[in-house]
Amino acid sequence: MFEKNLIKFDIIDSTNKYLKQNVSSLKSGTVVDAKSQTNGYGRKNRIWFDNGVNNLSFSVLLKLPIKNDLPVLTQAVAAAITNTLDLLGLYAEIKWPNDIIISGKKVAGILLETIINDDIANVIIGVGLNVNSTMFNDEIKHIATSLLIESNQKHNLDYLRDIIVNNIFSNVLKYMNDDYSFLDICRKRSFLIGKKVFLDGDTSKEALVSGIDQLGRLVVLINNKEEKFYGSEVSLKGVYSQGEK
Amino acid sequence: MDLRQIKNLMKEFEDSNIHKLEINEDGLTIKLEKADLITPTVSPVYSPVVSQHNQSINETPKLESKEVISNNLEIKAPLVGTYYDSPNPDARPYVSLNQQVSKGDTLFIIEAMKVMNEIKSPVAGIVKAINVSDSTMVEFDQVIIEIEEL
Repeated sequence: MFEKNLIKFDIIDSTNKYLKQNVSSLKSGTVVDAKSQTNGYGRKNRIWFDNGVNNLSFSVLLKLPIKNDLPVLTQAVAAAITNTLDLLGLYAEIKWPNDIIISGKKVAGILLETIINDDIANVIIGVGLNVNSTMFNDEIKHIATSLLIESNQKHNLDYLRDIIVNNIFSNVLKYMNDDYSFLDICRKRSFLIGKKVFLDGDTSKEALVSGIDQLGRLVVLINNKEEKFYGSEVSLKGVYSQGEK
Repeated sequence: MDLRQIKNLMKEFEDSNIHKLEINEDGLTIKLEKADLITPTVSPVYSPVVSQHNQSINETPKLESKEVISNNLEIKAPLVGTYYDSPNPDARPYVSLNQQVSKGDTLFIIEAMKVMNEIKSPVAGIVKAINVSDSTMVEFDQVIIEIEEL
């Protein structure tokens, strides 16, 4: 289904963009790694992330038979990253759907894009991980951290990337076999369960997060009524709101 | 069991001589019953996709066999999410009415749980209908765009 094939760049505008532009000619399992991205992108601004050479930014292309629950793959990737950080002795949490948190601060982000062509989903998984950054400016130091800051040691970027990619492949294989056990990790490591949040950036839409369902959707209580949320914008009430959605 | 399997089950049921069917599997209960031996009704207890605007797919799904027959190719939403007609709010829409498109051109995006899904045209043709407004919720298999194949 996919075989790892690594392409490395010193500098590129965006690893996700490279895969999108070359999707038809590249094989499933292609990993594009850039020492530096000039125009890496998240859905919003990326002020938490330092695109420099100290950190990890890579994208993975997978070509999968289409299933209508593709968005759960973000959770498969999030679990793969927390599992990898466990190996370093770092306890990471997942702020649904796509942020990785250590000590209440963002350390990694995931951006999935798919290109759906007939019955094939070309899935592009972008990962940005603050690894060896030593400091952040005043504007973001309250919301961003790095593995170096959290562990007091430098980490090898290639080694980290390889383990994360292997863990992603492992979880995607489970997904293809309808095994969604990686969601248990997302529940155990949820940064949101039990907390009050605002949905869709609307401060009148207050909800209590009660869980993550079998398809990776956020389960919330709104006025004690349970709803499944698969939108994108979840803001924590009171804290962690600046620059972070 | 996913939506596609449920839809397949509905089709099989429709074509069969069975008038009532109930399945229990892993907490999922599906009851199918043909009213007046003509129209199957579906009451899935399980709803894999529910929008934050209280839309639900618990409604009886439309049967494809009942759709109006036209020569246009229907491009459907492959998953539940938010429909976007352009790559970002400041950009021009990917396609407009009566525009000619090539096979592989991006037609629209469906976003769900921060996953951006680009939907490509499977054929060369002309856009004859755009059935959804930008930034609205769409359901699985909802017809978004109709293309007249060239």
